[in-house]
Amino acid sequence: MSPLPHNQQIDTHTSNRRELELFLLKLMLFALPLLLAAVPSCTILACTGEAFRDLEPTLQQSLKYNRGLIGYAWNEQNYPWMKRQALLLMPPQDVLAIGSSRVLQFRREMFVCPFWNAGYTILTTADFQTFLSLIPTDRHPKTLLIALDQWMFNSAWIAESGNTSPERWTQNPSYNLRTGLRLLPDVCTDLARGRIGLMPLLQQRPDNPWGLNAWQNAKGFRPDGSFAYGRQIQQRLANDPQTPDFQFAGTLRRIASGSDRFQFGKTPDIAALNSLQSLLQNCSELKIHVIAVLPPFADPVSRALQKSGRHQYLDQLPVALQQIFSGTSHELHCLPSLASLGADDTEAVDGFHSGEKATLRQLLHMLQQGSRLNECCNSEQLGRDLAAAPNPLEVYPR
Amino acid sequence: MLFNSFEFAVFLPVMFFTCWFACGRSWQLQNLVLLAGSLVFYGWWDPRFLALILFSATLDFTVSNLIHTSENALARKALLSCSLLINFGILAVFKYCNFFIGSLNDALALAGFSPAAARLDLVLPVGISFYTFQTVSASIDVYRRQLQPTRNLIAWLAFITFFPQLVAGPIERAGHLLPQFLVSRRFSMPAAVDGCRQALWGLFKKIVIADNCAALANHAFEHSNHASAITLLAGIFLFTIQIYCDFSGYSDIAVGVARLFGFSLMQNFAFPYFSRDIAEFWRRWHISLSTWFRDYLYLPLGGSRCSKPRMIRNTIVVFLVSGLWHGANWTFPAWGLINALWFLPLQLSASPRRFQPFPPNAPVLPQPREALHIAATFLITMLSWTFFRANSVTHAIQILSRVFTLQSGSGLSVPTHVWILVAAFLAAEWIQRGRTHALEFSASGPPRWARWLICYTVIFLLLKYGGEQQDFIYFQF
Repeated sequence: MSPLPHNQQIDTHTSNRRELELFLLKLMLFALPLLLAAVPSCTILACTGEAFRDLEPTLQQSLKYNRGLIGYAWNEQNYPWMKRQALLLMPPQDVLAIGSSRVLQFRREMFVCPFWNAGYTILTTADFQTFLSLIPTDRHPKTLLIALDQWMFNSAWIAESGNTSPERWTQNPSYNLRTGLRLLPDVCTDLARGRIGLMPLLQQRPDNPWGLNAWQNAKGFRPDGSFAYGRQIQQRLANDPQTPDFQFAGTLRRIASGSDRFQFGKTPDIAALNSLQSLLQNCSELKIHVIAVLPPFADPVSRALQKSGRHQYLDQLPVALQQIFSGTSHELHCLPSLASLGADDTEAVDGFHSGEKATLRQLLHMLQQGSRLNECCNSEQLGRDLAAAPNPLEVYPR
Repeated sequence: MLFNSFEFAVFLPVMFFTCWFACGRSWQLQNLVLLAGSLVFYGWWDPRFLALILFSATLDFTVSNLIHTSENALARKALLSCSLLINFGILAVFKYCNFFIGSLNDALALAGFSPAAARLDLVLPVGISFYTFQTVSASIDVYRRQLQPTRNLIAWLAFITFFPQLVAGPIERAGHLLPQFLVSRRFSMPAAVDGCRQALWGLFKKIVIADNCAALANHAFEHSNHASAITLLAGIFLFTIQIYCDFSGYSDIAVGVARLFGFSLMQNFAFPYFSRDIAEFWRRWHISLSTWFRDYLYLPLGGSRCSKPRMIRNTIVVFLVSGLWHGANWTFPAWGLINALWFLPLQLSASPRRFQPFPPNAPVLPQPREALHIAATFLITMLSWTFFRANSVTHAIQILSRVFTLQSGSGLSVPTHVWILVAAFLAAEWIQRGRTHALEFSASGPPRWARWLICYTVIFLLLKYGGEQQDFIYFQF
């Protein structure tokens, strides 16, 4: 017990209480600027669906009504989960495209049978197998259209990208509080710089955008899983120097420095080739027909890679892949340069992403080569679509 | 409940308001609220283990009171032995059982025999090593007549389960913390403000530095088979920073949060990476555990006031047991042994205390000789941590041999911002090394606006550069 007399105890208690109130007042004063900065940012992140919100209901709506554009500005880690979840929610597809962002321009309009694009899910060849194992067998497609990025066979790139954990596809990270909080400084900065405009957020939009990129730039995933570049297409068509990878300068820099997907390499990575081989065996057992595509680069990029003399593995890659595919019923299409497909540089979104029109040219080339995709595509119609393309980067409505 | 979780961000204000506003002047009522809150905090992981901690605490409450009232030396000894046997028995079962079974099976397999027993499917109760040491030390202190036990069970339970330090320390002594539960506590604004700053610095260390380093260090250690020497060295360096920021970050948050409730916890870390020799490192690293081993193991074994061979034995035993305390894997005793080997030459040359603590106004730039000592100590500490982090002793040796033979291999791309953050963090700690934490300001220090600006910057960095959430490393101990 305290030895203080009763009156003194009351005084101590009162002063203690006053000190407490003063502390809380000071704490509130300290927190006020933080709150003033955080509230608008949090509101924007939550209202646009960029953070703090579960993606699943939006995904369900998008698939159900075939309407919506899901495009995150920062939370791209939500996409692998989104793509797998979509496959669980939909009936099985006849043709399923999987790969990195380089497969994303294949659109439902190009196929006459059920098609879905699960691109932007794969980093390495080992990921194909893991991703497929995470899809229930009753959801497996008849045909798997896979894009084999050249760097998937580059040992240095593989070592840098590390092993992918299955949680990348199975855990929904969209409403992770910490991820959202981490974005607050960026949103504040972008608001102050005017990079986030408030007007697009206030407009009524028919495409049901979700995510800041979809709201601001009309950039994101369509209900068929393909990717709309939105405003970037207009910038590219207008030859705007602000376009990402303008005149392929960024890609050419990476090639010169041997970094970020363009690491130097002498021979194709053996483990990556083995992973691909086991994928083909597994697909044969599952009765899935695999159509693999080695996509082309923009022509200046192809030339730079040949000139560098330090990316020798690229020359050996088609032969190594042919050896794996020979003796199997699966298809491999080592696509020639964009120029030989009849496209020019204006049909490339950037150094290593073909636009929609160039992708349609690649598909037509594959059909002419006798691909089994002929069962799912109408070549004549595709030819007409190509001829009617409104610009070098787009064929179908956004 | 993790300190760096949303749940804790709700839990803490609720506890604060309940303790100070709802309980009024009654410290007994505050103890009851703290006990209830601490049980919720602990039970958040797994409510099944609440029974274990309550059993352990009640056992030592009873034992210490019985020891105190008993005049029979034999009975006192028997009671203490009973407490030690039960507490360390529980610890042995949950923490070391599978380790011993595994080691026995390995030994039998080497000799060509089949395994003796199957591993048990046991979950390690979080914080068991910490609270076991806390309860046991109280019984020993009562036995030694250095502590008067309390008869207030609520205060005792609140002391053992006190949520800020329950799961990862500091391992408080009853003589220091228990009396604070037995008097009316007064809210002190300067202490609370400094506590907030210390907790903020702890969060920064954990979320910004440790969590960012963790991902990179894990990558280096997991790919050690084909990583280059530089990659492995970077991985070891990043783990060295990670473990310090992870653990001392937790301690800073614990001490800071406790101050909000009017409690003073002991300092657990005193800028150990600025130590000038390994002896000083062990006076600055995990102080509550080091002093525990000193008082309850090293000194009872004879300490250094005995023959040299016995002193060497005592030192090795303490470091081995300290290693084993950290985890059930041979890597930990190996880490302890290596530290003993670093420590013994200093002890034998009778100069383990040649360096004095840094004064509060220590100069910014070190003397060249001092810098050399610090760098050398840091380097040998780094090499020791390799054993602590590796999956096995063989793994650690393999890593170090790759480093020392300058093997080439795959690289590790460490983002520039991580290097800048680590450098800025070390600089801040160096400048403030004479204080208890890096955000402690003296009355003659920077003006209020500058202090606030520093705190806003830390919050900005927390939000902007917080790494992927990782569990605190010391939870597994």
